[in-house]
Formats: sequence, C-alpha cells, structure tokens
Amino acid sequence: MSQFESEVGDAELDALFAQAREPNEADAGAAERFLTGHRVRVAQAQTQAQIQSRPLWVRPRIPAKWLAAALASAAVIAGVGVLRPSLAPGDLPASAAYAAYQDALGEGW
Amino acid sequence: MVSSPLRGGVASATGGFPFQLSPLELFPRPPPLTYEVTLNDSSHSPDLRGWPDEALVQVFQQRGPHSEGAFEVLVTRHAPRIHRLAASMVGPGSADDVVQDVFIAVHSGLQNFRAEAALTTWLHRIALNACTRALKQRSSVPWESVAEPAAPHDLTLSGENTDLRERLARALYTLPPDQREALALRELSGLDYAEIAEITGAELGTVKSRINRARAALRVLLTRTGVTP
Repeated sequence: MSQFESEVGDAELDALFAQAREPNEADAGAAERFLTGHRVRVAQAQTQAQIQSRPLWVRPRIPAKWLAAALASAAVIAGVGVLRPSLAPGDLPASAAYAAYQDALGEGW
Repeated sequence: MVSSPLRGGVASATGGFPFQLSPLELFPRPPPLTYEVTLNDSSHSPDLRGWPDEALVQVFQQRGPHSEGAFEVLVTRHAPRIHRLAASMVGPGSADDVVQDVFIAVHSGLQNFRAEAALTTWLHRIALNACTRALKQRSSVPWESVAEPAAPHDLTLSGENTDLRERLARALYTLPPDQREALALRELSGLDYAEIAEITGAELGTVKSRINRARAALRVLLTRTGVTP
C-alpha cells in the first residue's frame, strides 16, 4: 500500500495540525507588514486633523488645479471686457425712425 | 490607598478625609498592576513590550502620547497567531488581508473595548469574521479552479509549511462553517473548549461535538486527497 492510500488517523491528523501550527517567516513578519501601512495611515490622519484645526483662511482646501482654472477663467473674462469694441454713436446703424425722433424731440430724446 | 500611574494620581487628590471617600475607594479593588512610568510624561518613552494586554488596552484608551506605541505592541504580540490561523483557514495568499482587516477593526474598536472578556477572545472573534468575509469573497473564484500541486507528497517533512496550510485551508473550506471555526480555534489557535464556546457562543458540548465531527470529516477528506504524514 502506498502512502497515498493509507488512512489518516487521529495521530496523523494531530501531526498535520502540529506542522501547520509551526510558526514560519510569514507569521513572524505579519505584524511589521501591517504596521508599515498602519503608520502611513495614522500619519495621513494626523495631517488631516492638523489641517482641520487651522483657521479657514489657512487651510489648503482648494486644490491647485481648481485655483489655476479659476484664475484662467478670470483672465479670459477680463480680457473680453477690456478688448470688447466700444459702441460709439457713429457705429449705430442708420434708422429712419431714429432720425424722425431726433428731429422732433431733439438730442437725447 | 492604591496608587497607580494608570489612574493619573487621582486617588491622592481626595486628601485625608475618610468621609469623602467614594465606595470604590473604601472598598478598593486589589491593585492590578503597578508601573514605574508616568504615562502622561511625553518626554519619556516607556518600554511597553513586557506589559500585559489589559494594561496596553488602558494605555491605548487614554489617547496619550503612548497610545500608538501600545497598539503596536499588541499588534506585534498577536499578529503572528492571527496570521497563522488565517493562513490555514483562507490560505497563505489571503492571510495578510485578514490580518489587516482584523487590526484595522481592532484599532477602531479598541477605544470601546471593555475588559469583560480577554482580548484574545475578542481578537479571535474578529479574526473568524474576517476569515468568513474572505471566504465569501473567494466563493466567486472556487478553490477547485486553482491548480493543485503536481502530486501529493509528504508535506510534514517539507521545511516550509505554507503548502500544508494551503491544503489544509482547502480541506477546511469543505466543512460547515461552525465545524470549521471550532476546529480551527482548537487545533490551529490552541484554545480550550471553554474559550471556543465563549467565542462561538455555543454550548461546551456542542463545541466538542462540532470538533469531533470536523475531525472525522477531515480524516476522510485528507485520506482521499492523499495528504498523509
């Protein structure tokens, strides 16, 4: 009978469990693997807590990309406002009704 | 008068008037432990490694400068056994995930932990829940689809027991959950029947019965799959 056909008895089962219980390197390193990530999480949480404790005007609440987008939008609006061609009276289209009112009521009717 | 640094010297503030003592001070509990380090002294880092679990939990719950240090000692002390249990229940590849779930839960729940039960009892209950979640997630990818090692071999003679734990996890997975939990707590964590009964919430006789049935089923399964010592 080969070993694969022999029946597993209580003693053999106990031996298997004893072997599974034997500590190995993965067990020994489990704590440090967890703590490495845990320390990072704790540090991030502390940073967030410090930021929350600052006055509102000191908090970096607005991400830089949003600030850049807002500044760019403001620049475009200002440029359009400055460079927009002003409407001089001479630029107005000719109108017979306008001329009639002008003649009847005077300047600035 | 019991004077313990863990109490922050509160007892000495009552002065020498016996009629002002509270019932707790008139009938004080026996002093649990005495420590030579003042816990609110941030300039001095105590070596917490030799402290019992109960004292470390108290230090953590005080949210003082040594709170995280106490938690790290607890992790260092208990993570190997949680990893060992998880490796044989969900397989070595998922054991780290279980350890992470367990200690994240411990970190968030330790503040409210009451020492009505031993810390290890609480830890094992959390670990079993984490293992159950991991096994449910795994159910979408059946274990049977994962390739077996090339041939059965004498696992107990191999230097590394990772392969054995993987096979054991596969075998335990076939058992009913209540039997699997009881057997794992007994044979892998080495807990006694009373502790297992407390963790699982079952009667003592039920625990013994579950373990016996699980062992019988496991013997048959391991014989069939050729895992023999």
